[in-house]
Amino acid sequence: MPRYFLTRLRVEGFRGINNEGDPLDLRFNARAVNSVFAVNANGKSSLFDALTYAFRAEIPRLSALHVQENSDAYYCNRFHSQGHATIDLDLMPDDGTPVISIRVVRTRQGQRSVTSPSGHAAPQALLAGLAEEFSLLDYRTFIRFIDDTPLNRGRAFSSLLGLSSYSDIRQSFQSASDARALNGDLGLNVLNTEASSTLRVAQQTLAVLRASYQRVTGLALDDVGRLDESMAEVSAALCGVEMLRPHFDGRLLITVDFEVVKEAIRSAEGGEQRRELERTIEAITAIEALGIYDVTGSETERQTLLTAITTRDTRLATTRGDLFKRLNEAAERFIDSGGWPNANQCPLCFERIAFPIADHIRTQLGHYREVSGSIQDVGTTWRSASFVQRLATLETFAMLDVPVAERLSDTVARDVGTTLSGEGLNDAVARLRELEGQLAAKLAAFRVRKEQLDRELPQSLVQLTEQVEYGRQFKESLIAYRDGQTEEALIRARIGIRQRWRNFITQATATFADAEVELSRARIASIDEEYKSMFRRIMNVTDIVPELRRDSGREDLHVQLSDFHGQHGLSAGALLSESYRNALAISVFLAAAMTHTGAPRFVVMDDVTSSFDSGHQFALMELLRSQLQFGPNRQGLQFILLSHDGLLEKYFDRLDADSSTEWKHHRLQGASPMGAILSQSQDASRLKTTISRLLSAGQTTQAEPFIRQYLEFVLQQVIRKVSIPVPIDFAIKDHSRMVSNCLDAINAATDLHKRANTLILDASQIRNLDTVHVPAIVGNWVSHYETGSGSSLSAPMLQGVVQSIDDLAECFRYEDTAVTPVSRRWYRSLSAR
Amino acid sequence: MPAFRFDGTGTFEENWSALMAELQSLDADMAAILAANKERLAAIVRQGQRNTNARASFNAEVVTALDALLAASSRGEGTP
Repeated sequence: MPRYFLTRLRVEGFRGINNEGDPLDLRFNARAVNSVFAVNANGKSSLFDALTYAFRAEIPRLSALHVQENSDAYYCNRFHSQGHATIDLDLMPDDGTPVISIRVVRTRQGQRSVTSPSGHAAPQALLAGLAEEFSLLDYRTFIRFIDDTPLNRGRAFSSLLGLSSYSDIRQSFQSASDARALNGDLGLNVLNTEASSTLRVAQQTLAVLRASYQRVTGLALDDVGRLDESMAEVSAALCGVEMLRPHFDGRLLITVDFEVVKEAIRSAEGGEQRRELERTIEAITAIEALGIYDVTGSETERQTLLTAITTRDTRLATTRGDLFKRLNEAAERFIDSGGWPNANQCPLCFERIAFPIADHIRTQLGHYREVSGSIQDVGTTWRSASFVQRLATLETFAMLDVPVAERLSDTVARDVGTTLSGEGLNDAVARLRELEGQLAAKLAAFRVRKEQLDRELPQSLVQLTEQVEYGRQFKESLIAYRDGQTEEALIRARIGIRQRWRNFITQATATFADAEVELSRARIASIDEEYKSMFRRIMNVTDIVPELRRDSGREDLHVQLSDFHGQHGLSAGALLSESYRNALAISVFLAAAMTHTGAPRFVVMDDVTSSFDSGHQFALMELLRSQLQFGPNRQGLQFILLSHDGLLEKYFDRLDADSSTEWKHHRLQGASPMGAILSQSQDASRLKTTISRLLSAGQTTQAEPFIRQYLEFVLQQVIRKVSIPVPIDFAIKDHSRMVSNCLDAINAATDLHKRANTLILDASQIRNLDTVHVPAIVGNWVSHYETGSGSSLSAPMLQGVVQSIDDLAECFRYEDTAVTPVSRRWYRSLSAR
Repeated sequence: MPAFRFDGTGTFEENWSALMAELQSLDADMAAILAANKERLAAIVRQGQRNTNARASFNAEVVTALDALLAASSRGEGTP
């Protein structure tokens, strides 16, 4: 599989790059280090964003914005009239096959399309393959490397090693296998409660089943594994009564309609007393079906709940409400993000403290987690308590007639984990005792009444009615018992398969984590010599030797100094300056990148050198140029450096001008985000064409930013071509006054040479410069637009300004008659051709 | 049995496939559910940022898959 160099990037309408109708066009050399310089807010980061979007279909820092900030609205340039963005890339395979062109378009509505003008079959897949960590490195990724906690460093480091996908998935596994989260997300708590409840109901039903069987057959039901036979025995017993035989003979008990049987008895021997006996027996069996509950047995459960409530309240007292919780969570994110370097100082009141602030925050948040666990414990214990189940059963038992609004099992259950108090608990137990008393009283009353009816009615009828009622109870209990068994089996199966998943995901997490740690350790070991060598070369030291150490089985990564001027095993974070720390980070990244064999064979680095001092920047650039860049190194990579460092830019410029070095430099300038951004290698005539088009249409306001750009471009071109010196603060002066800054520098230099009588310009050039072009530009542009005091000029006047700047530039060129044909060249300097 | 290890020269996708093969021997049904929900798992932590909703969403999909597996096995179509 080939790897790819990035040889061209064209951008229009994306982020800070408007360039409507005239894309910013950068060509990169695969065999040279490529540098791109721009002052801040001049499109450099937009280029990095464009590549990020092309490869990853998103810009993570935009995606991370809060949803209300509507990050989708900030991909396309907001001043582009069409509102869509176009990113064109040329990718050159390293196996000699033709260059592949890919176009990425994003519409104002956020729709993305990827096509290949060169006819590649799967351009989107190719771009996705380039979305590797080594292809794009931003300042933020490695700046956190040393200062982070060992855990966060381990995670950030995985990115430098090209293993951030592994780190993210490892953390995802850990989150997905977290025991507490799993119990909640998989519903295991609820299912366990349901299983307990179902089991209790099954036991009650079984008790009724045994009792009714015994009453009908006179035998004990010992073996619940042979319920079909027991059913046949009940059927046979009822069939033994002559009057009932037609209803039971030859039929399964489960199919008998007992209401029909009762109606038959009513028809045979009518009477209100018999019907009352029937209702009384029904009431007795209904109460008996509830089973006997020993209220004193609930004391253990009450004590357990009381302990859980006390623990919850004690833990709650160690916290200070939701606002403090959120404060601590925010503080934890702040500390973890690396925004607070002083471990023993409070970031709110700045007071020094004797212990790390991170430990304090973790302790505070630990209290909140304990409270959360306690709330869950109270809720689970309440729901699984048998007396609570019994209370719910009795409060909904029709004969006890408890109004819905007075049912404690309902009202207490709401937010029970949070709201249940000792008093509430005692109220529930007292209510249960009260209802058990009422139930016992009702049962006793029904039994007394039944005895009266037994005495008053013929004995045979009493027994017959009893037999039928107990037969019905046996049938219904049997159905309920079997339904309960089915339900319990289903719940158990659900619990079982969830526990199976829990075991699996836990083992999968451990397997992944172990493998990831070993991969990371192996990669560290494989680059050990290389990164140490690069570090030595960049920093030019031999008596400071960094050492990376990954803990076994943990993500923590420790950075130590195995040698610090003869001392050993010291903290790198404590001893190394920022420049050294960044040198270590970039050494690790480059060493790992050089061993990587993924699809991208280029590395784009955004501002990674800005914290180095100039000597170390030079050493790093030399390392890239002479050892790591493809070309000098046949196994090397293509490097593309984005920088806003003005001093470094001088160095880039010199390397580019030196034909003996493989270096390609671009300098961006322009008017982001409204106008166009140009590279000095781009043809400025396109900008001029745009100006002419707008002025011809009378659109002077739209033309003004382009004219300003054009003036700045030409004047800086003059300064560069004839080596006019500029003040040291030239690049950082008010950017809106760049035209007059340039004119000031040109005037000062020409004046100096005039006084020294060394100015190379001919007399007419000097005269035109002094009396025509500079006054025209100052009068028609600087005084109107840079001071903001003038009104807009007409289109012809602005066209004249553009002509004046072209004429001014011509004052610094001459006809070279030494060549054929005659060529118009720039003076080499203000004093020489 | 030697501990599972990633191949340092392989891509993440290749190593993920190797992990899946390893987990198949641990529990093929569960490994299939994990493989089917890889993207949801990956959404839980992206670029170091943890997303609690993504975790709940992942586990919700797992629950749905587990219950479907259970239902299939009760119809004699699976082997949980």
